[in-house]
Amino acid sequence: MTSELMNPVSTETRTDGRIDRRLRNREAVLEATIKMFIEGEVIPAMDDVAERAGVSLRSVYRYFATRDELIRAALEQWLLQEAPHLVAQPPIEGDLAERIEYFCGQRLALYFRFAPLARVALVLDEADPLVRDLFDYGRDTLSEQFAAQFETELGLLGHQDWAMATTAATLPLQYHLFEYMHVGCGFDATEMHALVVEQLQLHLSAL
Amino acid sequence: MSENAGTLTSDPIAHGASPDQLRDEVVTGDGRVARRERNRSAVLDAVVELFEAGNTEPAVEDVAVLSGVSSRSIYRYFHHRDELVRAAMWHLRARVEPQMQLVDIGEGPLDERIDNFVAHRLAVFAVLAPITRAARRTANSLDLSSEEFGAFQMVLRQQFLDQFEPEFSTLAGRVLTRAVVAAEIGFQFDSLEYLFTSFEGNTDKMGHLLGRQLRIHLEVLR
Repeated sequence: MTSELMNPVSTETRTDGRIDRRLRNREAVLEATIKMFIEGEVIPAMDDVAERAGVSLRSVYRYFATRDELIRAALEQWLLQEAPHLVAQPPIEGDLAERIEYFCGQRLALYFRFAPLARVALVLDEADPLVRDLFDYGRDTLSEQFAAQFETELGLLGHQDWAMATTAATLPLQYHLFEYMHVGCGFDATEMHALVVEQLQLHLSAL
Repeated sequence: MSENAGTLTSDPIAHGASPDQLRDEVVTGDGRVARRERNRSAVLDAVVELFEAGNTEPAVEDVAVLSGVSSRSIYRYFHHRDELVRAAMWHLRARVEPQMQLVDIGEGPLDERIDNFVAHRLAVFAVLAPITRAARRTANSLDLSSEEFGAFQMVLRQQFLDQFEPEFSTLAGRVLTRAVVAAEIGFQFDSLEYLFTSFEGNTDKMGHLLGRQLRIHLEVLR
């Protein structure tokens, strides 16, 4: 930041540091909001955000007119930071049991990483394009990954049966069901793992 | 999500046929209360109808036109949208109560019970899906759905347990919980919604998948 101050890019920043400070503060507000999201605060209060970011409440409202606006901006920033972790892992070689274990482990790790983000997203609005894209992307990668990992088992099926089998088998691995098991039923990661492994075994061996 | 989330009372009774209103009736005993109740009911019917028609965010003016109750009165009965949606859900709940019944519960061979159960859940889903979608799209959707659907879910869970009592009877504790959760996965609202989208609303396909899924799980228990 000091180098930017010494090599001002615009006349505005040269006249005073206000623009820089403004951007810095805005950034601090977003970072504080993301930290609160991660701590499980789905709808952080504006004054808490201000305190965390070390800026005045008035400033927070100057950058973000409403709480929705702040939450959306923070979510977007957070999503950009996390995006690399959303990329689907390539399939592994091995017998069916090994592949099921690996696949379920992957999906659960992804769930625990993205659940705080998804919870915020769902509070925002299910119909928000950003939120819809996030969930659509998640579902698409799940289907693709599943198809690649269990090609051997699914390969012999016709299109109709293939769609049916894929939908049935990937259902328990959807975000909302992980959420249901974890939050709704109080299952821990080990129990969830055991449950989804069993599900996949049932479905894939039924083929 | 609106800024006035805090003003929503957490007590659902306060938004349905509330004890307050019942008390009013006893105290005043004139025709006004009866008219108020009739109007309120007409408003809620209109909201449900609009939801069912796919209008997830009906304007108060639309509700007024459809119900024949003035916007002013609507605002008097329901202070804001959330309250209206909430009340509409309780209203709908009372209306669909008879359809929620599962006949011959727990009776007959497993295959028959599975088929009956799947058909019944799809029918319940068809009734509840429009308003559930609407509720979720409104502000404070999390507060709303967790409250109102908590009660529904209890009824539905118990129904599931009763219908497959013979299969689950040998299990207990954590093992039982896990088996129930696993077997019931497809019948969660979000699951049904997901299947509905995946199969483009084809209930035959949904039923086929749900039946198969349930059969796989329950046969393991035997």
